Amino acid sequence: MNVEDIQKIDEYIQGEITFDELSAYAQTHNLEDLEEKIAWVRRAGIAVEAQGVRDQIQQIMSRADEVSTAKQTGRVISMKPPKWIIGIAASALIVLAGYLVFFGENNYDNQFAAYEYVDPGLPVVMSQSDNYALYDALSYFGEENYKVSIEKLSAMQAEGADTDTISFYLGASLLYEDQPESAQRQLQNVLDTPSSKFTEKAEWLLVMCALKSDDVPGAKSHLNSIVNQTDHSFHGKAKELLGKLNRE
Amino acid sequence: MTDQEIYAGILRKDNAAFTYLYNEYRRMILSMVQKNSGSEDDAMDIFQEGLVAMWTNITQGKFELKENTRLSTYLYSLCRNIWISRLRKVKPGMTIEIKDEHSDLMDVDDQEEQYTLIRTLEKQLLKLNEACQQLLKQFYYEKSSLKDIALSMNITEKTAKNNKYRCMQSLRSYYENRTDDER
Repeated sequence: MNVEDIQKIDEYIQGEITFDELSAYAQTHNLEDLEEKIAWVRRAGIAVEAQGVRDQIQQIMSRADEVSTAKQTGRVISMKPPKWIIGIAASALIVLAGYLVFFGENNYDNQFAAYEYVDPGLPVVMSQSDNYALYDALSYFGEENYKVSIEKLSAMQAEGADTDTISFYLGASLLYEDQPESAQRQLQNVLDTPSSKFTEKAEWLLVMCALKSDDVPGAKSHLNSIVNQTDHSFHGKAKELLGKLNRE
Repeated sequence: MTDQEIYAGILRKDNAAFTYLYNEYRRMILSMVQKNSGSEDDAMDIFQEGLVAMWTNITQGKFELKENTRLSTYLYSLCRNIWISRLRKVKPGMTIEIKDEHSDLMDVDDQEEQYTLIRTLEKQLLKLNEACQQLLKQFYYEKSSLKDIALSMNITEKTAKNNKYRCMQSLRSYYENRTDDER
């Protein structure tokens, strides 16, 4: 086999030419045992891919282990307190629970957790990704390791990469890490990008940012904008939440 | 994730599918290996092998998802076979009986054979120089065009094409001249 022969076989394997076209090439170029040669190139290509998949899986496994170790080391070791402290703590909890039930309008977790939207992230496919840095950052996002996705996406922005994908996932990561003001700036960037595929999700996350910042008028303004778009994917939820906020 | 979604994700080499499989079935494989004279490291190694074998067989069309098949059973059966092969190498001639928690098993002997062939080739790849490994990875794994590879390596497209040919020839030569231990 020469350079061109392998190239033609690869073109056939990748579906760029038909078997008839490859056979015609083989005939004119005296390429014998075509089936065997195709099988060899295919196997070699799969072996290369398998090695890439192996590296990919290894990365996933070590990341998962890192996350689980981080979770374990972050665990608080409990000490058994004396009974009188338990008594005081229990009374304090009852008072606090009462406060939250009766005066907890500004408590985001209590009031609006049901409306929270956690984006699952894009399916990250290394072989289809031109940009390793983005692939890497979104892998962390997909694993809900938002601290690292913030670090990586911010670094990309600092280096001049400024796309609606980066803004959206950075904004979402910041929101999930309880930094609503910084998240707002990123999500606003998405709205400023004409026909971004992230617009609707960004609009909804902006509602969540406003609520987390106790900015009810801001939340209502974003909600009104969504309610006015009847085909918006968050239309139903927005209508329901706006009604709830207006009743309070 | 449903089995169909995982299957499609594996075909796309999607991180989410592999992450899901790792999180869901890690314990199952760990338990099988540990109950059959293996350590945690052995189990993780076997799990990784099983996942690569699963990708290899799905990609080659050797395994298709049917109504009565479950991906977890398939993955378990692959890992189990790989672990048996490994035990046989360590203890040749000994009868190996695996203690299973799962009665649901699939016959994957043929598929393991196919995978072993790919694995042997994969080992030969490591003998290539780094530039060759990188070029082949970009072309076959990342599906980059020769034009893009040439750009990233600061060479002409023609040189990239010639280099790819030479790398493939070297790989073939290493494969054909591999030692018995590498078979």
